Amino acid sequence: MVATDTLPRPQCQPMSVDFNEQELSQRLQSPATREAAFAQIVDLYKERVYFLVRRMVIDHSQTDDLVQDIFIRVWQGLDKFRGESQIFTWIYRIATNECLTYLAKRKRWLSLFGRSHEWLESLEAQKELRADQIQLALQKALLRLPEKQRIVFLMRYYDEMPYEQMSEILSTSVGALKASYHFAVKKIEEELAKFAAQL
Amino acid sequence: MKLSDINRREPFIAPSDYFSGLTAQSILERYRKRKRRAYIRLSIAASVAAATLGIWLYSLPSKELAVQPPAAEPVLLPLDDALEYIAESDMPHSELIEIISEIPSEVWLQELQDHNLLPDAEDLL
Repeated sequence: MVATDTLPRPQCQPMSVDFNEQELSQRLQSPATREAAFAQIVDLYKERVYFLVRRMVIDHSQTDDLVQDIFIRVWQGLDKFRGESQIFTWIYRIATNECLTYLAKRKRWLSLFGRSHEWLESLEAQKELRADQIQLALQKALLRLPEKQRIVFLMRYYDEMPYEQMSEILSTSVGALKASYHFAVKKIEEELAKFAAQL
Repeated sequence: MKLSDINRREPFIAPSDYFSGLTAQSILERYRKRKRRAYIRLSIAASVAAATLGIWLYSLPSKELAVQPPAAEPVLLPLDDALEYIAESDMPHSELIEIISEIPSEVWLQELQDHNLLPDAEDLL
């Protein structure tokens, strides 16, 4: 299967150098230019939102549903967006909230039917996971983290997002985020050590 | 084993044509379809609630208000007529409930369309 190969890059800043945050923000406020401005933010952020969600929910089709729902929320919330935070920060906040809500529902549903193990199994079934054994072990270790801690780890580790920006998105203090990341790394390294011992 | 021992890279890849198909237009189309469906659900729920209210009103013990039932007629009536029929009829409850449950959803949708509440109901039928 040919696939879009998005290599890691610092993802916390807009990709295009021509991007003018203030101008785009103004265009989002005006009904005449709103739809075109919305199209621009979809183009700018769809990949980053996709990969944030995909790392959280694993499955592509569920990710696709969530990504579309997130941009629908963005569209619905344009009236309330006052440009007090960066557009990117605002979208990421919506995305993380949607992910956490989805994961909480899914967790309840899976535990209700005694199928909590399914998630780990679904990870191995992902055709698009670039799975050498160590990467798979890392992803399994990630799935064992509490959701909020996992999202902190994903933003910091994969997106290289500054703590200050994460703080704004997650409404959590920088100190708490640093502690959360530290504990996440510790737990992951313990899991990886177990994996290495089995080799 | 340390995290730094692992080559950091994006763990997932998206299907090749995925991002080209994900556009503002496709997202807004989904949003509008969803709004339309929500409107249909609401309209049907309102219709059913109105019919239920009609049955309940009919069941009130007010014989003085009861009128002679019309002769047996085909039951697929427009909603307004159906409600009037229910209000005026002394048909047993069980029979009324049976009649309502037999009305297919297409008829409700057609009703909405006929009343210009849902101009593009056809593609949902």
